Amino acid sequence: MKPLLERLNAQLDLYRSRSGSPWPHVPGSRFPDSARDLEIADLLTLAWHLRTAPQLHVNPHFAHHMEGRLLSYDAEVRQRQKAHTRRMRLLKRWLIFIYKSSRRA
Amino acid sequence: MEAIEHLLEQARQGEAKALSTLYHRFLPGIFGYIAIRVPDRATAEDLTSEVFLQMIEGIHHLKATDEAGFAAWLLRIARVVVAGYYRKHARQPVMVPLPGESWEEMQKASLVVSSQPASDDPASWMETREEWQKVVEAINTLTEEQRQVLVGRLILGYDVATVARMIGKRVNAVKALQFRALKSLQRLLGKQDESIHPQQERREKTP
Repeated sequence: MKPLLERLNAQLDLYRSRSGSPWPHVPGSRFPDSARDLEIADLLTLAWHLRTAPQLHVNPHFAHHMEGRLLSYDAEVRQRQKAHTRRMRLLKRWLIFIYKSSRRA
Repeated sequence: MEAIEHLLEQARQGEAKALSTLYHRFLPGIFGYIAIRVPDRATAEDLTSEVFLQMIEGIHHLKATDEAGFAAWLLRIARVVVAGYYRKHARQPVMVPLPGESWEEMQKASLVVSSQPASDDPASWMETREEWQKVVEAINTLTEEQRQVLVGRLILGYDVATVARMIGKRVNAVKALQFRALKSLQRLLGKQDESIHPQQERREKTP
């Protein structure tokens, strides 16, 4: 007989493969035959509660607002990086000029 | 579903669409990881924003090329951000939620239905704001690996092998971690449940 952790994992995998559809039970109802063990059934109920807890679900309004903010921040970061690269290139050119001038002198 | 390697490459080259796809793919996991560790939605949203803004800053230097590696990187940022939040608020333990963000409003939109009374089942501790606070406290007592396994398995919906790559452990270790994480939560939530009942009984006996 498989140890408890293997059986729990097998059940979680089974439910994961049905993603998109709800898990095959609601709290308080009977579990499928494959989850006979009461301990496993309790842990699965707890996992189900965690998975479906409304507190963990993203608010679509927040997701949309954040996406816009993220994209404009990305544009800003790119602009900053471009300006930094330009400055570094100028600095490099200036240092080369100084070096060459000092050698000529 | 588009391959993560391709998306990361495009995002590094400044493709807004790739960045959006990455964001939408990992938002539920990162938000879930943070929301399970802080007591209110407004804070969870603020910290989630911080993680994704840091993602923008660091994505150009990121070495990870696969899904597990990228998820692990984001979760590392999230862990640091949450730790920073708790450090900052160490002397301000009371948090006030923004109006309109209450759990009760979320509950209306939720499909979660429980047929059991709250006292019967540790899982039912998630059903009110105070009870959710207990869940957050219980989650915060788990180890970081246990939390990441729960997020990977339950929220991101990864298989054990992906979670193993994500946290750098063997498959069997991940199975043990998820079992222990759920057992610890069950025990912690059950204990809180028991510790409340004697008080309730005493109150009931008081004339």
